[in-house]
Amino acid sequence: MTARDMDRDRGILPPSVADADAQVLDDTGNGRRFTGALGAASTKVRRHRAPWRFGVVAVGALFPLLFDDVTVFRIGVVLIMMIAAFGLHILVNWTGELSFAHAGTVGVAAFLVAKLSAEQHVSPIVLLPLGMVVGAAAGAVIGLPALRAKGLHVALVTLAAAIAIDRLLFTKEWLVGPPGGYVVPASEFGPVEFRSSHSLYPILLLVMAVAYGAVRMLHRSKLGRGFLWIKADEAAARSFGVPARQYKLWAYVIAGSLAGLSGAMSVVWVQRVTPQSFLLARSFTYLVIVVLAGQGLFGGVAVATAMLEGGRVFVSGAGAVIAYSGPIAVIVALTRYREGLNGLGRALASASRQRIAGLRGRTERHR
Amino acid sequence: MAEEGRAKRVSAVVVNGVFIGMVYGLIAVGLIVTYRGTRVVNFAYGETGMVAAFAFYELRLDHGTPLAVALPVAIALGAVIGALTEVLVVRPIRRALSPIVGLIATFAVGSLMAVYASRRWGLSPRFVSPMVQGSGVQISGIHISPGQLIVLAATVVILGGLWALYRFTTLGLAMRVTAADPYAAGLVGVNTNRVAVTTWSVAGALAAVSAVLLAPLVTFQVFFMTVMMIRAVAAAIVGGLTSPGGAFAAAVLLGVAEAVIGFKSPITGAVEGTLAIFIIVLLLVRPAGLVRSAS
Repeated sequence: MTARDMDRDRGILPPSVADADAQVLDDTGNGRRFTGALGAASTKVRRHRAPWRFGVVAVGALFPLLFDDVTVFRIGVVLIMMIAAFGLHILVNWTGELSFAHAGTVGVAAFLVAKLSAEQHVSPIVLLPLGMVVGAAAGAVIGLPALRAKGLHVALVTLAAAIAIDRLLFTKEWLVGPPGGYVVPASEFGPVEFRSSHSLYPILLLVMAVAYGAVRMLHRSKLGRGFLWIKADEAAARSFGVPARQYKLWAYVIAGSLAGLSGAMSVVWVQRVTPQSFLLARSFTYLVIVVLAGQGLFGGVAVATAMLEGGRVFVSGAGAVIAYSGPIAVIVALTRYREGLNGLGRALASASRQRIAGLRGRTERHR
Repeated sequence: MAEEGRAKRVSAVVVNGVFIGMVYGLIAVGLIVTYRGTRVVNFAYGETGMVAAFAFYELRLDHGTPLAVALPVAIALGAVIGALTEVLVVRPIRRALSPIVGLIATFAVGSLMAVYASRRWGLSPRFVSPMVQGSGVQISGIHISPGQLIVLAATVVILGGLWALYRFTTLGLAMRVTAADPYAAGLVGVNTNRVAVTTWSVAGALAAVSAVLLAPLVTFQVFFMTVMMIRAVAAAIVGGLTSPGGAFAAAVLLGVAEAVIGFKSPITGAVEGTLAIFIIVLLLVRPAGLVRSAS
């Protein structure tokens, strides 16, 4: 019997909270095993990660540089979408909330960055933090109803906000610029000018690495743990002192900031912004990605984004397949396999570990 | 003279708003029917009606099918789509802890139908003439078109029929019992699955009628019902997602407000913006709605 089981039997941790805690351990392999109530003394559990994994990740990240500029551009479009999808993943799969206004948040930040960059002749790279701030502010405004409304009503509010952004803000020339959209000058940082996708790609990787690292730290933090507990059982989380309303608002703010970063980065990458890039339907694409990803870290989000957005960008004529497969995949995921791609990955990893352990055991016995 | 002309124009705008609001009310009532029956907000409702309306006008305009055949086919199509949605999508997730799961699932169903419709019928708006031609009637100098008269008649028939269904039939009683407490309904022998399918079929048929009535009054394109859904959702929220009467009244007021705002304000998106603010404020101040069903 583990310490967690004993705590559950003694009623210190309600089952749902303990399960959420276990989920954090399962997802990261690292983390803390609580031996008592929230904030009590804990023991660190570290899983040793083989160094060669970091090498594989580094090689994989730099591999696209071998391709031509158009291919690198397309890869960048997919990666930028992934940043926004990370944000919605935190909101939906970690906290159990919902936002139909995610594409709108991306768009608001993108247009403000593009406007400043085009009119004030500021390099859009310098405005990346502004994009995050704008996105965070938009997330806070959209998430404010979360303080009072619950579940379904919050979803309806975000849908209303999304439609308002789409019909009210994205039709205003003072925001979206001339009919052809804003054309943003090539990015520069000090003496360095970035005129091609190849030159911008390391910047994109750096932005992604920072975003990923920050969110991974969030996953292990008290706030991130609070998100998971709110999703698992909000009443139990509240009874353990988790300020659920404030944490939910933080979830919207963090999701908004990642959406804003994605919007700002898209300005840097694409150098042109039009309202058609942030239609309401785009919010549903983000939702499809996070539903397919399922509970967990970011592997599922990355795979789902690569499948959907990568398929749309790279495979010509795949528009119909992607258009149909997204909603069908969501329906199948919600009705048959709610664990999503992350759950599938965990199951495969567990099965392969058991198989390797079994093979090792057999080898030992033969010796 | 100018004042009189302006007063007539405003009156005409208000009357148009009333009739548009009636159609919003029918959509809102359909949303409430499904929510009361299965506690799922059906975000595929608009697209169900849209597919049925497109099928109706394809039969009428492209194949010359008589109205007496095309309309029942469209209504049946709406009912079948509603039933299939309940059986294949809603039933497996009915026991989900979060109502958001049902919302996302029905949103996905709606998206699927929108993709199909856009590929089959295209995205270009089209003009469809009213089902019944004629000069309409004049009441106090205000012209009411045949299409609007049909909306009025259909509203009376449908709302009256729904009221009678709930009030006087065994099926209606089963639907009310299932809406109040599905577990208790099952204990007293109500086949809750059958009631759920019937509820969604009725709602699907209602969506088809609403869309067919609405099509000649607005820009008829693949997303015309999606745009109307937010108005209907706002009206349904006023009714606390449980009161058809409250939702219908709110929808009519909404239709009038929309028409007046659209007439007075040249700002693009003013209506949607006002609506969004209204929904947000209402859900913050009174999340249970302004009018709730007594049951």
